[in-house]
Amino acid sequence: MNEQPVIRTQGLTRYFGAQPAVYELSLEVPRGGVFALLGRNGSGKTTTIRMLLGLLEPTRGGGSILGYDIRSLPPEARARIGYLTEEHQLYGWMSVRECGEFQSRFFPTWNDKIFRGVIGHFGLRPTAYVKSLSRGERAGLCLALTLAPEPELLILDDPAVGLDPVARRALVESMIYLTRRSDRTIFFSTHQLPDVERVADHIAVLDHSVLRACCPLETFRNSIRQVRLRFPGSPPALPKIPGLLQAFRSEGELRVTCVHYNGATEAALRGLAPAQMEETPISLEDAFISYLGDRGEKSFILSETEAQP
Amino acid sequence: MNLNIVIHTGSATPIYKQITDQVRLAVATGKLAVGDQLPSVRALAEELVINPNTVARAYTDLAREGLIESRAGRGVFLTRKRKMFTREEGRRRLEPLMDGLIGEAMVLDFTQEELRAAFEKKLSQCQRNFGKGGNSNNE
Amino acid sequence: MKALVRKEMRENVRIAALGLVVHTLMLLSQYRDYVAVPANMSQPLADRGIQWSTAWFCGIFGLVLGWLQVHNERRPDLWAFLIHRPMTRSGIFLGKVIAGLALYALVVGLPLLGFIIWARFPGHVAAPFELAMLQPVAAYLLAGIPYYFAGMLSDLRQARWYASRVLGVGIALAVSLFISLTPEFWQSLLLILVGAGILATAVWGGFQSDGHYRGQPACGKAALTAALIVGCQILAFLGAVLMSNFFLRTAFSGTSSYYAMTTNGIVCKFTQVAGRQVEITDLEGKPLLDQATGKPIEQSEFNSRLAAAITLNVPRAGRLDRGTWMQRDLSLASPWQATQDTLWYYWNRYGRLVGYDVATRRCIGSLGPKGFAADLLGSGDRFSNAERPLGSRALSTATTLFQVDLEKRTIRALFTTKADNPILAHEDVTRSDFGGPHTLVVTKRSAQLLNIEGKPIWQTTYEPAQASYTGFHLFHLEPPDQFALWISPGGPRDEVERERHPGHVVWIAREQGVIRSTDLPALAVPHYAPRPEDRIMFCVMPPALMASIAILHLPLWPAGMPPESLWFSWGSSLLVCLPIGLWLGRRYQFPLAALAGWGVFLLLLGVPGLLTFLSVQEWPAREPCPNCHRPRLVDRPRCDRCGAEWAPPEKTGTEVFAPLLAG
Repeated sequence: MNEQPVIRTQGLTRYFGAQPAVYELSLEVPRGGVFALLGRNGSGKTTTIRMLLGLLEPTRGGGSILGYDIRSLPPEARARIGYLTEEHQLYGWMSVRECGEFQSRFFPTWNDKIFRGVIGHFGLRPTAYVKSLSRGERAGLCLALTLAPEPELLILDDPAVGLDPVARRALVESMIYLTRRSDRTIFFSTHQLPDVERVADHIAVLDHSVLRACCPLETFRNSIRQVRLRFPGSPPALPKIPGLLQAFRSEGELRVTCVHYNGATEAALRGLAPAQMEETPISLEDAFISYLGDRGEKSFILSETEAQP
Repeated sequence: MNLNIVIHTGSATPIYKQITDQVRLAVATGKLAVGDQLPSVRALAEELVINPNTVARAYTDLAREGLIESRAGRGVFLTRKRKMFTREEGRRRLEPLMDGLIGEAMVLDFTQEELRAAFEKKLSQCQRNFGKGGNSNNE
Repeated sequence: MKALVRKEMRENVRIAALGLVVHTLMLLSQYRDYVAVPANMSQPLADRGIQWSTAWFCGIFGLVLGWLQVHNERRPDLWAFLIHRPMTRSGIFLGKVIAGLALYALVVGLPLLGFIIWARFPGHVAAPFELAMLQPVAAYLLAGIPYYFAGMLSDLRQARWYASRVLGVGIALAVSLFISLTPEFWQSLLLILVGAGILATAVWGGFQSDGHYRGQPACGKAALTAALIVGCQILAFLGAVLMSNFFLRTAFSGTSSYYAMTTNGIVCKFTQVAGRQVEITDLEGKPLLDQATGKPIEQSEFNSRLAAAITLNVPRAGRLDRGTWMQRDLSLASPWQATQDTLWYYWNRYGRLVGYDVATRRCIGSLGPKGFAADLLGSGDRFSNAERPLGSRALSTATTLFQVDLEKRTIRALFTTKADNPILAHEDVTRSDFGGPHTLVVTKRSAQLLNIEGKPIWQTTYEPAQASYTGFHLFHLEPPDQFALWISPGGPRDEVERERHPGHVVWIAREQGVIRSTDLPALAVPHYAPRPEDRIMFCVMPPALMASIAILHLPLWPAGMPPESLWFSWGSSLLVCLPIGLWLGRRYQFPLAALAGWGVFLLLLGVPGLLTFLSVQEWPAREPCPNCHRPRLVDRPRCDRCGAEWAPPEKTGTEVFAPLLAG
């Protein structure tokens, strides 16, 4: 079955002043499954999500969400999309129950059982006022309001920020609960790599407003390898290796992290004549940090002049 | 069933691999016997709080190894191990694990005799799961 | 929609309650002021007090409420929460407006309603009341609605400098000002409708694009531009005034001249030339010399010799020319006189004097030409609504002048004319030098001075040479029993007339009648040379405004705007505003239609137009083209010079792209 992607962007660009926050972003999010948008702070994740939901006008480029043009989302599109904002802001003067009643009037597919279920899961009293809720409780309320209409596409902007571990776990559980239906898609941006490891099928990585990776999570993991080279003396200078991410140099050892490790890369490394060369396993977090961190060589050993008191 | 799978995020091992490793270990240590039922993909996913696709992938790998099979309408069951690997390949897979075991024993200051004794003891414990109707190609 | 309206009303209930309390207190103070003095001769529903309180309160409350309704969702995430629901943005806008206007109506209307009920309750207010008297209050009430939308606009607009957000209030201020200046009531309503419509459309457009200019539909952009124009004009004026006040301070220059009458009966001419002293000459032009010194007389010394006039204005062509509808509504019933126990008013509608008892606060009857009647109509007899001073002892019909005795509630006929020579106006003369109360009566063809019994002391016929001669000035001269009557143009629009036809003077003696009469020679049209401050002001007045001033004959400059004002106005728009606008338009690649439209706009609207243009436009960044290296706008997919597209993101060799598996 030729499924239309639920989200598609083409050359999506947004400038703030003279700086691009998002530059020529072209990606597609397939239907079903969980898609994580990763990137450092300020790399353009929230801007992208705002543009996708028609809350920010792109400077150029465009996209479609559920087949609708993002520049003019009609009400029926909004009925099918759930959106959880980063700040979890709501009207402070409303009570939890009033929030639910307010939202339910707008969404024809409102499922009150889900609302009450999520509320209960987060331990919220229906008569509590929003302004008296903690950040995690507000997040739970916002999640309940977003999940209750049973949206086809759920867009979450950094949903775990500021949440305590229990609330974060409840959030991840809600996301997994949503995957029961294979036609539901979740698109979320986050910094929480453990959560990404748990729930994400696909990831996209934004680096300084540019898309640098868009693939299944395992592909990303497998693309990044770390190789440890041991040398009898001081490690030699590193040649130019395509796909090099980082290289740590310490006494007698060179640890190289690179992308698309293939025969050519291996040959180039062997050319340095190391005493020992082995591939070391790397966790997702380390892979991610080296992917988005500063490129190039780093050293842990201070030079002799610096080490002296 | 007494299968207790624990997964850790932030590990160098992908989650699906953690699952397959633990299932294999359970089979090896006798916690799981042939014919035991494993939890469904969805049940395990919700128990471990992970994406069901990850569990599905682990189960697919195990099925490809011949360790489990899915019976329509009833669930996932442990099955007789069918030979999936050549002896050479099997030896190659065993090699790094042996390296790890011996290395660790040396660090812990075990002598060769102590290690051999412990190994024999473990083997006898797992006696029943070894070579039972498994490999027809004996060396 | 209902849920949204309810939420909006609930959200703003506190400010509404506060407004209700404040408004009630304001009206309570009106009530207290009225009740404090039993002999208070005012209609609380129509006097200045309630007009001011309504105008100020409605304006400020409307502004605050509108601003607050948008400010409640100021945080971007809360705004996203509001917008992201299955409802069009127009629907959300409508929901907010319905709730806001409903609250506005309650807060503004309920206390007023209570006030009206109190005032209309028989026995509370001892003054006439007509429904038309509520028109000014109604107008000010409705004039608060533009402020409501201006408040919404001020917090909705994403503007770089906060001052430009407030510019929308300019239109609301203009509406408030002009509703009291239009001739008819429906014109004021139309002004309010137009002002509110423009601002509401601008707010609607802002809702479509989250406050930005670019994403709006065209009518939203047009409305926003129109809404800011008035504010920018006010800003330009203020800037010009500040600049002139700080840097220049030139005295008014120019020539002007006028006539004045001395107590001897000599008409002399005062001429003021820029910078020089006032010249005093007689009608032939010869300077008047001081008898003692032989030198030209000083103005300060001469002022003591001028005669004071008793002035009377005759209605033009029989119609009461009372200017704007608001002035008319304020004079539907005028306080006349208060006796010991009765308050008397002249009620135009019935043409009678209506009395209210001070103690019972009820109407006790009315006085007409046929005498006292216990009701308002009498036998249908009424005085003519001729021009007469308030509180006068005399009232007239077309043919008879009556003296009114309010204590005894009687009428006595004083003076009668024929039907073909109706009484047009009369004026009480009570100055001591006249020796007793007299009355000056002007009929269609004659003017006469009557004594207290109604006997004419003198009478003179006249035919006004000009239709504009509606001002009669009576002078009692020093030589005993000598008078002078000066007939001149009297209306407020007749400044130019006054120069061209200064008037006709008749000298009268008591015994002989008319001694002599003369037409005053025309004066030179006053000429005021524009000062540098005025020139700066001309620069910030757009050609469109100059054209409106000319069309509406607004008397902003004596004898019409000097021609050089046009040069400065057109000059500033043609030489400064238009080039700047065109340069910016070319630099930012406006489409031809937009460039032409803005060009015309800047040409016609000059400096305020330029300020509006700058505060409304959003300028995209420019970057060098990857192909031809010349600057190009970042919001265009193709370079306008070489047609190249934008470069795709640079590849670093570390990209990981792989096909995604469908769920």
